[in-house]
Amino acid sequence: MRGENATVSEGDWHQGKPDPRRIRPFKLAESSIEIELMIHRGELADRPTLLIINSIDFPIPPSFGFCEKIWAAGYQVVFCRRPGFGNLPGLPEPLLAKSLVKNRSTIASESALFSLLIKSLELKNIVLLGLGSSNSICYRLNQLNPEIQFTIYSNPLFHPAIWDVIKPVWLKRMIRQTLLSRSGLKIAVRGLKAVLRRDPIWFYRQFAQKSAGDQQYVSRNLDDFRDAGDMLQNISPETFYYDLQNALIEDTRWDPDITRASDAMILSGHETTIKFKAAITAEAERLGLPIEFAKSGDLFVPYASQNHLVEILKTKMPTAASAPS
Amino acid sequence: MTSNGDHGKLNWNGGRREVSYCQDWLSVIEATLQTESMTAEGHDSDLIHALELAKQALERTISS
Repeated sequence: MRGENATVSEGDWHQGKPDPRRIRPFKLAESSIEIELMIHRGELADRPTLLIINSIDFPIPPSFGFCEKIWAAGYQVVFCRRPGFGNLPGLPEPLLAKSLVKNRSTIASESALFSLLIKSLELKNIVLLGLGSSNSICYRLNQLNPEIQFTIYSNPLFHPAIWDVIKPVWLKRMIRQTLLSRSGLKIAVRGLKAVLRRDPIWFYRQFAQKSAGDQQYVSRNLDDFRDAGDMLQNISPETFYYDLQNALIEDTRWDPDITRASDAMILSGHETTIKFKAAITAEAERLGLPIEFAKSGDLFVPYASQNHLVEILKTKMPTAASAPS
Repeated sequence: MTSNGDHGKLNWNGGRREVSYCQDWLSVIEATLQTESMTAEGHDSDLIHALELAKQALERTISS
C-alpha cells in the first residue's frame, strides 16, 4: 500500500476486499482496555495521519469519499471511537464521578489514553481533527503527544452562551436538562435514545437543519447516520453527562495561554447563526488561534467542505502532504 | 459496573474484572505522568494535577 496515491471507488474495494472503513477493536498492550479504530484502507500506511476523534453527536467514521479525498492529499484517515460511545466499555466508574468530571480529571485521563494509543500505533506526523465535544480531548492531547504536528479544532464552542446553535428547540431543552439534575439526565438520555431508535435520519436532519452542506452530507451517507443512531443506544447517562459537562461548562474556562502557544487553528462554517459566528470568532481571539469559515457545513463542516480541509492540510503541513512517493 | 451500565451485554458486574479495568486505566495515567514531556518545565500544571487526582481516585477504588 505504501506510495499508492490513486483514489478508488467504494465499489472497487468491495470486490473481494474487506470494508475499507471497518471498525476494529485495538487492544492496548497487556491491558484489558480496547479502543475501536477505523484505519482507512485497513492497514497503516507510510504517510501522515489525519487523526479524528468522534464528537458526541456522531460516533461514526467519515464517509469513504472523504477518506479517499484525504488519501489523495497524502494523508491516511484514522478514526478513533471514544470509550463508551460504541461497542466497548466506557471509562471506569470511579473516573465518571461528578467531582472528577468537574475538576477535569476524567477528560485528562481519556486524553492520556489516546496519547498512549498514538504511541502504541507508532503514528507519526499527525494532524489532529477535533469535532464538537471531542475538542476537549484534543486540547489536552495536543499538549500530551509530541507526534501531533498540527491541530484543527472544528467548532470548539458549544456552551450555554450559544444555546441558539442547538436546533431543534426540543433538543436544546433536552440537553439543558441533562446538566440540571441526575433524574433530568436519565430522562433526557432515555428520550434521546428513543428518538434515535425510532428514526435516526429524521433526528439528524433536524439536528443539521441550519446547514445545506450538513443536510447533503446526511443524505449521501444515510447508512452511517443509521449506524450512529444504533451506536448511541450504548451510551450511558454518565458518559453523556461527562462529555457535555466538559464541552458546555468546564472548557469555557480553558487557559488560552496553552492554545496560543500551540500550532493549531479553528475551523467553522458559514452555514450557521450570526450569533454563533460572532461567538466563535470571539472564542478564537480568546484562545489566540486563527479561524477559518468554510463555505459549506456547520456541525459536520470538515466533511461538508472537504476541499477546504484539504487546502488547510496542504497549507499548514506542506511537507507532510507531499510525503508519499 | 462500567459506564455502559445500561447496556446489558457490556454490563460488567463489579468484582475482579472491574478492579482489573481500573488497574489498567491507572497504568495509562501513570505511564503518562512518567513521560519526559510531562516532567518538562513549563508543562501545563493543571493537566498534571488533573491526572494526579484521577490516579488517586483509581487507587482508592482498587484498594477498597
